[in-house]
Amino acid sequence: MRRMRCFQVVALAALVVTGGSKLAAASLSDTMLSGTVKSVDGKPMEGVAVSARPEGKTFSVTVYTDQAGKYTFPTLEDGTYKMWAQAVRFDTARATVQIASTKKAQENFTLKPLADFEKQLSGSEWIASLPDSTEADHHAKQLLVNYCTGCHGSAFPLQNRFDAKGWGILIDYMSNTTVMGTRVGSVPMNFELMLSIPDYSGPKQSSFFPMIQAHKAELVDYLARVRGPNSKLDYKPFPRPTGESTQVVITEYDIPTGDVPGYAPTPNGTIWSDGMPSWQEARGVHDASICGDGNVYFSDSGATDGRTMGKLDPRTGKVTSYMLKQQKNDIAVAIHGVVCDPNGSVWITNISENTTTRFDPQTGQFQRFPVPDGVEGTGGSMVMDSKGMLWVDTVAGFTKFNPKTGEYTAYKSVTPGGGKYGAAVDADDNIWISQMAFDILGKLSQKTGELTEVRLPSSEISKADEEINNQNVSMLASPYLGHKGPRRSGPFRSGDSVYFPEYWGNAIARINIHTNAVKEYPLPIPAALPYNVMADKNGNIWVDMFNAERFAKFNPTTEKFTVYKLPSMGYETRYIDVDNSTDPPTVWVPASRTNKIARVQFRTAAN
Amino acid sequence: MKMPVVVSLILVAAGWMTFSSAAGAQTKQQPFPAKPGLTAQQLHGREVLVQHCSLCHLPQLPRPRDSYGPSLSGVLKDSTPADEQAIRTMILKGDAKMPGFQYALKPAEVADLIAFLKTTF
Repeated sequence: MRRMRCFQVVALAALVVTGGSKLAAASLSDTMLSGTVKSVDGKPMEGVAVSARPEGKTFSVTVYTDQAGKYTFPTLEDGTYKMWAQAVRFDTARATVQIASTKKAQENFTLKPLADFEKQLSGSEWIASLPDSTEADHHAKQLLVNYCTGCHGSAFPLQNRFDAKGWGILIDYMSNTTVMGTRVGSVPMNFELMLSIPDYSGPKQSSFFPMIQAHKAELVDYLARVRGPNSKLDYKPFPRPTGESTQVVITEYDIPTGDVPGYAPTPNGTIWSDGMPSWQEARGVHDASICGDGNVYFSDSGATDGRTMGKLDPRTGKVTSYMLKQQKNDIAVAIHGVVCDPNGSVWITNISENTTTRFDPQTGQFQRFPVPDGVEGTGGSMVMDSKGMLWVDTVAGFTKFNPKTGEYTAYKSVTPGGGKYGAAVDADDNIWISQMAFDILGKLSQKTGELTEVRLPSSEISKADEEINNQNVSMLASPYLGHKGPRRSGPFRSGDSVYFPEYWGNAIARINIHTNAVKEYPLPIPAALPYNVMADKNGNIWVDMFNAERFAKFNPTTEKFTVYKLPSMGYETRYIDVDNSTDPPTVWVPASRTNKIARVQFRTAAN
Repeated sequence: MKMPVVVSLILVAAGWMTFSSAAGAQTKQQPFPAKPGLTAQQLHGREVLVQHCSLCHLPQLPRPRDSYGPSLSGVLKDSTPADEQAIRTMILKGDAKMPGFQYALKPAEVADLIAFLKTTF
């Protein structure tokens, strides 16, 4: 169970008014909008995304065609809707319809093939399309996935073609660009809060990301061949969704930027053939947590001066921005993790000021909790255990915060360093912290106080690659080749397992919380880059796929994945949340590259 | 695998950095919504710029901060044919600091981009 709720949110019925679809209340016979999608040869097309956006609103609703090529929307509000139907390899078909409760609307689409469809590809599809039949190409492709996806997906750079000089300029640029997209040294940064160089006494590094520079020649050679002046690829788009994967209703909400009220930049990935949108303006959403009041509280993917945290009301699509000014200046505190408290509070990781901070939705006020000198008061990820204690990953290890007393307790990890990020809790209230660069999961038993480690098996690499690893400093976003990169995870309130996604290992790791035995499940999508996992009340594990514009459900009993496609480009999802107050649970997927948050509702036999 | 020393800088691909205000030390840049009155071609040119040129030619975020490369606002406003050709060549061929986009952009996209560069933004 993701969290306990103070009160039941009758989310689906409450969404009737303006904020999306009446999924739970409607049956298919109630629908006012349906139709079929066929190709020009008259054949029905399954798995086509059909979207509808009401005039004057800030959200779109998408459904997928079934095996007969038929799509059906849940009951929508009366009004004028723009519609579009999309499938990879096909041009976008468009229509405008009038929806009225007194008259059913039928809108059929015919999709024409699109010769130049490469911009519709997700990052994973780009990677799948790149050559790797020779040992050299296979190695270069591994480098591309390992060193060019820590901060962004593959599609944005690969939708371009450059000559060797051009790729070289870009790699040099990336080597000295921070994860915020800023030039190293151009913006003062509080590295002291996060930088830990345990006993490093090696040579001065060549750049901010020395591992990228270490492999520059090989990367430039490969990229200039595969995405250069004369490149031609055998594109390998993935099959369209089928069966269960088509039985979803996805509502996408526009999220205005934090620094310009009401501004949602375009292009925004809505039309696939426009390509992967730029992050430069959008700087979308990082964490988005659905709380007991039915609102989604979120942090920005790229910090802005004007917003600390946002709130999305799914009933109306309204976004409210809240700003906590930093104590030392007038710009907004930047946050990362957002956790809903069953008592109604929202807890955030105040990374600008190294403090755990509470937000009161009733008053709209923030409350800082002072941190003792020398203690790291917050980190990137936060999780609440069964007793209401908050845990965050820190540079040194992790910190516990007691909301009742305001007390912080710091813990040092067994192995220092390693780029700590994910914080999870299991059914025994053990706390787990991922050390992404080291493939280590730190484990604290709250019962015994024992601090141990579980190490994920690293992949085999060549001696030459090992030598390069040993000579260069790794950063979180450019790890050592062969490492799995356990990233973020959520609370697991029941069962015998805790799960972590292996970002570069492209799998999810299931760890038995009693024996520490590890079992890895490779994802069915290549180079998907899973960033976060979350359990639902039924024991299913939801996995986002940063590079694939998809997400998946993992069934621990059958050990099978069901993959779902998102309706827009530019998700590069860094978080996934589950609303367990609905039946079936509702999944929330924020977009970090573009300005959207998606609500995914699952159709059942009843609707 | 041997465990080399790692700089465990927790860079988590956004939102993990804290910024100090540099008010007064940097050029204040305006946000980038499309201005009213743009033609369809200019609007598409704006999208081309955001998609392909923003990394270097739009302000660093959080605002207000300079762009890495020069601002392109009005760079072709009231320009001569020679000015336009020079910019076109730069777009296509690049220089020591800029990649050339001749293989990435279609001729129509370059034309739309140039139309947008004749406006101020």
